[in-house]
Amino acid sequence: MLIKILGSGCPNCQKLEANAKKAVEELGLKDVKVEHIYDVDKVIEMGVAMTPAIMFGDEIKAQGRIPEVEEIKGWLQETVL
Amino acid sequence: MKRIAFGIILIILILGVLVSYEWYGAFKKSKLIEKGIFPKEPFPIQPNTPWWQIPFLTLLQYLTKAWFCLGMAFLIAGAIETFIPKELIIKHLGKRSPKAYFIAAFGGPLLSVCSCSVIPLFAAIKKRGAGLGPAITFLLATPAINPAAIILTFSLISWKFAIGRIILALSAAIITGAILEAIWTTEEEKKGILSQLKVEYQEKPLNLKDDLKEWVTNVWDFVKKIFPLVLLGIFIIGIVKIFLTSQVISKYLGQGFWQTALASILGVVMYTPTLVEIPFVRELLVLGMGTGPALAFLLTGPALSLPSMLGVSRVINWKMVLNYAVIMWISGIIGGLIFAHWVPQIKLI
Repeated sequence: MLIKILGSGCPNCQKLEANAKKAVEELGLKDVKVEHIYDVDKVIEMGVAMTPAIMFGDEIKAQGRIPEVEEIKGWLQETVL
Repeated sequence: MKRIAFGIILIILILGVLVSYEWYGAFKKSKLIEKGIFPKEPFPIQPNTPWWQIPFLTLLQYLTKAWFCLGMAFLIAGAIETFIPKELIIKHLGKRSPKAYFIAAFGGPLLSVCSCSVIPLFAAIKKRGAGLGPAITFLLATPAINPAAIILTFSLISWKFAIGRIILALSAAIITGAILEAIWTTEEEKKGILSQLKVEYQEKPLNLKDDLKEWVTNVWDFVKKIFPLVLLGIFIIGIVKIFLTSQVISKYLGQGFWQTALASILGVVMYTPTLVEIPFVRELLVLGMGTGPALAFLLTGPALSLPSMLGVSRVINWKMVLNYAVIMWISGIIGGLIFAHWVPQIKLI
């Protein structure tokens, strides 16, 4: 599965990317990749209005806020495990 | 709904405390002045003050005057961030309708988004949501009338300026958005149904302990982000003050049409960090700036700046950017002149 982080590169989306990576690492998921999308046009194409946003594949998990590591872990456990 | 209601009550309570504190202070001061006692400035700047002390004294003056109000403003900004769900506002910006202009104007300021997410949100409203007009309205109204700025205007300048700012900034943002929409949106785009903003609103139940904790975190985030900039801004104002004399200010920025036009264009090009426009205008008012130019600057200053226009020109054609800058400049002049007509003079205590 692919986790997408959407945001123009400000401190908020960097934090979200770090949280997502930490969540994946703590659960020891090897086949989950985290990708950061910086391009505003692409972000809009995906139908996201508020950055930072986090997507699991095509599903928007959260936007306009920074979910904590624990919250992301919860989603990961629901979807992957 | 309980959570939002709790948030609104909290905000009104803080506002109530702030307004009564400010008005009680002003009332006490005017009583003293009636008796012939003039309250002493704790950090006075006199003609014989060494020039290098002026920025520091200016900073101290503002800290003693504004600490309470700034604190309350941060508490309110944090409460809005915590309790007013952004999704609820953005959901209404997903469709083309005249209503969208008003939501963009009134709701935009409540979103209190950080500056790096303003442009993505602008692009989203334009391309997938309500279209160019409301997107421009959102872009211009959001920084100009954010709650903290209005509160500080009320406290440091006067309630007349705060009210004038709200009414004129909202009108200017809506009119500019509507004109841009009329000029630049083609018939096809108007018909096209692009609305795809995937914004879901999920109601969160009220959980007093967690919510209050989140509130404190949000307030602290605002303080960390904004307070250093405000301090730096006021310090720079103190430096600028060394070089400005009241002759220069009343000549170029006193009451009048050309002075208003100059103040308005200064606001368009200059970058003023959020909240710093208020002490800046206050200092200029003390030195003899007219009320018209002052309001014109408050209308265009926070809404527009060269860096923000460069950012937006990545999303829309630069001709449109130039176009809205010119319209805002003209709205600034008109707004300034209207305000000068109603409030020709102001006393700052």
